[in-house]
Amino acid sequence: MQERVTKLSAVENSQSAYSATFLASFVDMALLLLIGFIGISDGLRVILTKTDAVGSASAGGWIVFLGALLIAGTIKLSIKEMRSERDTIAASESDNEFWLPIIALAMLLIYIALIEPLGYTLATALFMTVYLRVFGKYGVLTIVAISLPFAFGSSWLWAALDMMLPQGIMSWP
Amino acid sequence: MDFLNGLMTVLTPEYLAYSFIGCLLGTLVGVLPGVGAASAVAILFPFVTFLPPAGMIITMAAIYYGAQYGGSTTAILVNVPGEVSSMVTAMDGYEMTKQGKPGPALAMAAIASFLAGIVGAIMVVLVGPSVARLALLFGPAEYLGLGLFSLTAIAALAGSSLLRAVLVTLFGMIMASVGFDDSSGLPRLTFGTTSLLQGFDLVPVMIGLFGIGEVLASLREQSSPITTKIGKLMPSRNEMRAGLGATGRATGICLILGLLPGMMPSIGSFISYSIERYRSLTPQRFGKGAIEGVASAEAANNATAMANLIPLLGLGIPTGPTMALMLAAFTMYGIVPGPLLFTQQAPLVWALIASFFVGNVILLILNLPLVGLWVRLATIPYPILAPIILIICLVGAYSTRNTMFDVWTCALFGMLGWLMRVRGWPLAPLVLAFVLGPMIERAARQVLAVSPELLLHRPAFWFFIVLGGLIVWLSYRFTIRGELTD
Repeated sequence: MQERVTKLSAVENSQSAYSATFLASFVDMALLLLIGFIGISDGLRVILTKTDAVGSASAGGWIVFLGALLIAGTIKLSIKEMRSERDTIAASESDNEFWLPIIALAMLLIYIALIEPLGYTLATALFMTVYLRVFGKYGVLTIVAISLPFAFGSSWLWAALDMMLPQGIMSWP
Repeated sequence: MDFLNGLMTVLTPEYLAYSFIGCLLGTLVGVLPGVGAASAVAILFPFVTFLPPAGMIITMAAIYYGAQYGGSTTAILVNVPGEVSSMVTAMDGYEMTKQGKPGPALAMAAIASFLAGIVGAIMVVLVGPSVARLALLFGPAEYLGLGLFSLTAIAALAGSSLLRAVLVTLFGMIMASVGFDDSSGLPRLTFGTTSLLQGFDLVPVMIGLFGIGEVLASLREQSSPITTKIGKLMPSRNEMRAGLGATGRATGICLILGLLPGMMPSIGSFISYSIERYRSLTPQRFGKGAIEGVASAEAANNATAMANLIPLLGLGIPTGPTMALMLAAFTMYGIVPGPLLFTQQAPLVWALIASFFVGNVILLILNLPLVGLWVRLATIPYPILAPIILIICLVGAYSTRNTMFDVWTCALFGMLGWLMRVRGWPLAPLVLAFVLGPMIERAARQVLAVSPELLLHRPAFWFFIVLGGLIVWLSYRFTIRGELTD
């Protein structure tokens, strides 16, 4: 009985991993098809634009050609991958920690959005603080001891290397 | 004579300092877990742009081979390969560490890298100018053939599926088309926005794909603390004999293979290691601490990297992501690698080649005494290291053209690089398509403008097409594909 339950559970896990893989493959293919269609439509726009520019037909024709090849290749790969289950195991292994990079990426995007309004130094201190808290689970003192010297030290270093980064609300260095 | 002039230039204090700083920075970044040579060059690229042309290119080259050596140090001592090619070194190197012989493994890695680097540099001196002279005969048809061959070879060698690699290549070529078209001046794929008119710059794209992408992909990996003492450095006489033999064979094989586009150091390491194990009378020792395994992987790594420079300098064709960045470094100063480089920029080219010799000597002197420092760096907790690398990546992207557009581009391609790694899409064809796409487009449009019939009368074009087909066939035949990207 127990053996049967174990087998059923293994089958369920395998089916769920297969569904996740199928969904991820679908997203890959959909993105590639979208880029292919964008290429074709923009290429046609360039070809049909009334202009005196020499070579407009070949400028547009080139991306139409690339877009068409991308769509044809994506359809071929989709058919090929639908017939095989080759990524199932890889996907089931990597699903568990899938969220870590997404959280880091979200923090990174917020950091980038804050660089101009807050300035490099403050945005960096904030990003380091949140990152160390979320991923490192460090205490407040450790976080402050790492993030503040890094933010101010790196600001000074970039300025010394003549790199002009956004200063935001704090006009330093 | 040209080479001697180059050597004299590099031996001046200023250029020695560039080489030294490049080796030091490269090793420093290369030892960090999850940061390979391509990532190290991409991350550090914007920080050396204030140097004079020769200084920047010499520093970049030194960063490249410094990072490669750094990756193998941590691979041997803590089983944390900085990049894919160091994984081969880790197979036997870490086993030697566990057996209490980290010193001989490190020394053999340094000696093999040094010898392969020196022999490779000699080959660049001997073959580079001849390749450049040959390329003087090339017209648009030949460049079209060469570009198509390069992309085909890269696609064939870069991933587990040729079709996937081809799709990535096409995607990269479409991305490279964003912005003003050079010939007609018409905007393409800009959707009416002004920021997209400038197109995507290679440097933020590379920093994103390799720097941010690798950090995101490495978030789940943990490094293990080192407890081993380095102890005696020099290998025994028998170990030295076995290691030098493997070094010679790997160097010979990879100096030839490295001339092919797509033949990156990682692939050279895997091939040399496999050959060494195949020809050994005791193949069961491989993976359990065979010094030949360490020597062959390290020599192959450096020999391929050196051979990769010949198509770049002679033809202007990058063979991998790192060479694409080297190309970007040249073009930043209006220097076009290719047939005329050896005549029009002779002092710079020969100084660069001479710097390979000097750099390899610096690495040998620098690395063994500083091993303890590199190991301590490699064991910094990743939650501290990761945000620092991410911030440096973004600052690097910003400093390319001082626009936030490049920072967003870097983040976008970082996300793409991570997703591609997770989903098993190869990265190298994307970068190479980004660089070679415009060249192929230009050549194809020139050929079409004259007459497509031109191709029928150009045997060199057909030679490259047949060669591309042959590589695709060979990659299936020997199944040397897999996760072998830089």
